[in-house]
Amino acid sequence: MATKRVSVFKSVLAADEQFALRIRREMDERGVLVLNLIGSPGAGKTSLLEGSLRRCRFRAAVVEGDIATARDAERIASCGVPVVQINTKGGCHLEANLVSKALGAFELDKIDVIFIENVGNLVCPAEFDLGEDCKVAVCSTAEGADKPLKYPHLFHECKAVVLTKKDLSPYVRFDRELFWGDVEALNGKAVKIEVDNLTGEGIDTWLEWVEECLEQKRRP
Amino acid sequence: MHEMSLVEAILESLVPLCVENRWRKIERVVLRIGSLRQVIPEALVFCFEAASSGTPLADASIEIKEVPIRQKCASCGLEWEGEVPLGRCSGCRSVEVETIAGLELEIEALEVLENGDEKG
Repeated sequence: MATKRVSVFKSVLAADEQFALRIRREMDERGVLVLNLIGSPGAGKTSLLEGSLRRCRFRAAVVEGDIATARDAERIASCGVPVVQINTKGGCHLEANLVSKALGAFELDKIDVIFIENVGNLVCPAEFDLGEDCKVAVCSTAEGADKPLKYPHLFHECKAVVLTKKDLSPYVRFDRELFWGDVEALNGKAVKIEVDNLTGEGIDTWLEWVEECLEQKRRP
Repeated sequence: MHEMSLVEAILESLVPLCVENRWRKIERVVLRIGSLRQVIPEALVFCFEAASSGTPLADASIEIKEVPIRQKCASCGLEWEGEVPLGRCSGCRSVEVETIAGLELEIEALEVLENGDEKG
């Protein structure tokens, strides 16, 4: 018996990356925009979606990722859009193979934009490609202004940062300059949007950005 | 704790490879992991020890080569390494910055015990 060294050079996530690749290819062909929303539990991801779905002019669908319960899916369904709930049963992030199955439940020729609400977590979801067009970081003022630098991968990679719970800002002494300064340092290209899900302030700006992304994707 | 997902992916990829090549077992796995990937080496090794039991990788050791974050400015060509990724080139201030290393999640090499003369 002999020990030998074997070169492999293979991506650890090669199998799941194939699912992501297939999703991206299909959605590109169909001209469907896919946004992967990532943020902490309680950041306001579902509320942002509720506010968006009631106002948007495009046809949307939602994939909800949660460890347990269908509560978010129920909230989204009441907005009258197609929704699929994925329960990861302990898993701290969504993976492309799960999303791929979920997308099979939609009538894709009747959809313009798919929002994937990832499991509440600022770390792990940033590591997994779901075949999305881009990642969106959702962060609330209540979480504190230091989050971008503490979770650099997400804030570096996302195309937009949505700051929620703007109304709470004075009560939690949110340092707005520090927050956006750190976002800028990590990602000079990120679009910066502030919203207040309760009053709906800022939702139109967010929706305009989504529409722009959709237009860009469909531009020949 | 995405380390467990990574370990599961490693096992799903290497167990069949081991069977296919009729290796007796895999004794060492060398991984290249980019600093941006937020992997905690101790957590990965812990998950690996737990999940690999009963597989041909059961006693394998894990070597993690950490790859530093390396970026390049697409406008002026400046390259740099850093602990944290930058959103802007420190030379020309352009936002057209590419991350050229630091995102690796690769199985680089293995040390395997062959079956020798024994019929596999």
